[in-house]
Amino acid sequence: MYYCDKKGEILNQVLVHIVLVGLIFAIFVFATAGRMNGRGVKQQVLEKEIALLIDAAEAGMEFGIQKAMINGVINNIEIKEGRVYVTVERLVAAKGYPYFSKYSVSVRSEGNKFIISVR
Amino acid sequence: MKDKINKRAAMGEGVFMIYRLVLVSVIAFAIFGISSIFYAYEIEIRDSEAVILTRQVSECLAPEGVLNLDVISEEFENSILSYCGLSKERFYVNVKVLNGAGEIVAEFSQGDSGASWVKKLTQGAGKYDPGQMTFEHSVLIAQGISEIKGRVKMEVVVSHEF
Repeated sequence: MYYCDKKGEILNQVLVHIVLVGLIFAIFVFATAGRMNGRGVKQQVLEKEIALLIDAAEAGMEFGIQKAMINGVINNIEIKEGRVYVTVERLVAAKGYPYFSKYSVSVRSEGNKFIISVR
Repeated sequence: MKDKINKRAAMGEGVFMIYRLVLVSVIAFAIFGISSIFYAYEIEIRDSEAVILTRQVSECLAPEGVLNLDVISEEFENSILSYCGLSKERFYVNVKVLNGAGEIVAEFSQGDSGASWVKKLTQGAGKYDPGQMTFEHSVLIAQGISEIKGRVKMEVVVSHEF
């Protein structure tokens, strides 16, 4: 009888152990997948592309960026303190990317586009 | 007595299980950390920025191909980016104005001149390798009432952004 109890106890412990290790690895796998799923990469691509467009633009130019595009859904574009911040699929930009244009740059939302004006 | 021993054994087993779980977590996070370093995707645009900045400075100094040295006052010799109204963070710009004989007539710069040295040191070191552009073009150098043919040699280095 005692032998049976001991066996059950060990099995129970092993199961708990397996479940916990499984949970740790699930967190690990999701964290790695999250790192690579591209939201951050899309954000980086958009921020850097926009910064390059601003740098190369002449005064009076305007360019439109589709809100829904192959690089994901753009929730917001902000231009402040010489940096471009893009929120892609609700991933808020932490540090943005700097541009060096001498012109004044502004952004506005117009229908399904964000319009960036260089003046 | 037997019960007491079993309780102690059970406690020992529990402590050992915590130890094993901590070990598994540490291993998992170590793998995550290492994979994060390898999978960190850095898009390199500093060479493109250097090209754009070269063009901007060139157009600012010599609009329509004429570099008027009387217009650029001496105070801007070491702050050429400020003269052109461009941001000076991360950049090193050096402009040498040469006459027909190849002698330096004027020199303008701004930024950390060490960036050029860092570029040589960190060649191919991924995100630590600055973007660089060297460019040379002919201009008409105007000074006073004279105009001479000359050349402009530019070096632009764009450091990393963190």
